[in-house]
Amino acid sequence: MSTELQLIDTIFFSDKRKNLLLLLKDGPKTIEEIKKGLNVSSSPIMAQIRIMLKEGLLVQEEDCYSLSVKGKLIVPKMEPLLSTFQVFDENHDYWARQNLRTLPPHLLDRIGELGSCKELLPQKTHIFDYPPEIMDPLYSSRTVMEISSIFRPGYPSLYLDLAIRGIEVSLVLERPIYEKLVSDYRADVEKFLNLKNTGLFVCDQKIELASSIVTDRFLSLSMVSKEGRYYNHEMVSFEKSALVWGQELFNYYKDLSEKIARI
Amino acid sequence: MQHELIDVVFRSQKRRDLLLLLGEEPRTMEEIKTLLDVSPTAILPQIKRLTDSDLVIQKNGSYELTDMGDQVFKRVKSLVNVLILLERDNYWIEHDLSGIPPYLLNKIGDLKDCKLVEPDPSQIFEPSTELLEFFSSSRYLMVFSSFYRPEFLPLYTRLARLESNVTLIFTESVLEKIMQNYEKKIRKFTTLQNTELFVCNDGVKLAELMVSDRGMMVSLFDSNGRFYYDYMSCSEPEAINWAKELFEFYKSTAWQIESEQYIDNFMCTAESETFLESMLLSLH
Repeated sequence: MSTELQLIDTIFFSDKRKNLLLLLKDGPKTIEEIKKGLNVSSSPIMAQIRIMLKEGLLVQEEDCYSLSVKGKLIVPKMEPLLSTFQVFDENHDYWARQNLRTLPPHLLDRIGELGSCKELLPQKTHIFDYPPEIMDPLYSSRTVMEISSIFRPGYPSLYLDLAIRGIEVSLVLERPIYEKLVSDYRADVEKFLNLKNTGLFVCDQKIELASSIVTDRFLSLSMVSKEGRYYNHEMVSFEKSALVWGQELFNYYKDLSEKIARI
Repeated sequence: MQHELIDVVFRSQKRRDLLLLLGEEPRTMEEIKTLLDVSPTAILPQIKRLTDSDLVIQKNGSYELTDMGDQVFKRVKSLVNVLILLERDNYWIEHDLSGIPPYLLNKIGDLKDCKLVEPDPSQIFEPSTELLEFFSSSRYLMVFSSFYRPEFLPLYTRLARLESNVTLIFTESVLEKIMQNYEKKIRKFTTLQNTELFVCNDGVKLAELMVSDRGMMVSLFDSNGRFYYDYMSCSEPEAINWAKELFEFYKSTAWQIESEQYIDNFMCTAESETFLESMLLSLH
């Protein structure tokens, strides 16, 4: 099963070569465009281009460089690999601790789409609330969607407040959380349901994640560790690909849920 | 921390091999030693590097991937398969891949174990006994052909009589030529149980595709549309599944010849140009 695979050295062990391959994925580029796109000067990048022409990864047509057939088969496999590695590298210990299988498999396989993430922890004075860093983006969002299997005391007033301000708010809650909300905060839940820009869904299946918020501004994940332990935290990404990923996660659980019209 | 995983996985061929091995299933040290043909002193530091990086964990006397290791494995495997495919043979980059839809091109690494079969130049106008033999005991057979291989007609009928499902897709020119020369045989074929016959437009960028439980073969045109009688063949399950999916793709673009009346109505709309081309390919 062991194969030497010379190409691995070529594609991974030079940032210039790696970045050039990713740049050319979007189409042929002249040397001027390459210099600008990668912010490099002529001679160092020309040396790398010559290596890749020799390896058959690139082809040259007049003054334009593009991916060869070989390059076009390889680069689409590099991208998800590099993005997955980047997500793990940036918060290695966090991802190593979590039970990743709490994510639906098709979304776990695309975890690289989360892009650059940051773990936010609440201040001691707000230990049960969202960290302040996401409260601002939350209030400046047009739509807010959340799935949750945990109860935060701040929930009822927060979501009611967001909805009253005209933000579209949709919630998918695990059955026990919904029941707790109804028994402890009935009036707020009724007010929430009476607003036009709200949606409330109840999920009878186990939501394995603690919670996830996705808005048009950011995505945030709160996961449970391998030992089944939870601490209040939010892993947040502001990248476009992460928002798409988060909406799919929300829709995945919404599709398993029942819409509540009234209590 | 940047680029950490790239170094962990790709700076050492032993670690890469180990990751790919454990991705299949958990293994004991004994199995790792045998399968990778390494000594414990050579592999232990690499195992340690993988466990320190939270990709591998030791459990009940064997080593297995963590959740994170499994994700890393999947990404590495899908890249490495393509690199192996490209390093083993230039067939794929020297031929026209435009007949393969993007979702299958994306999985072309599944064909990494394919071997190039080049018929002896003195044999190219003879019936391909090698292929005939290979597919002779198939429990099902799917064939797409844009050239004329009359020597296969008896095999199709025989397999169908043995209750194997046989599905054929021919281009219009090929079907017309079969109708001219073997009308009775092809009519007989369509009347048998377990058979399906489809026809598709000429000009398809796929020369030939055969899939059965025994294995698969695929042959492509070169970038100038020429055909050289060589083909890629493999018996690995991933390659068979890939070929089945490609066959299903072509089936979905073809129309079925459902009964003998359809054969009567079959009109070749093939342009004379492409017809000539297929004649050239079928000199035998």
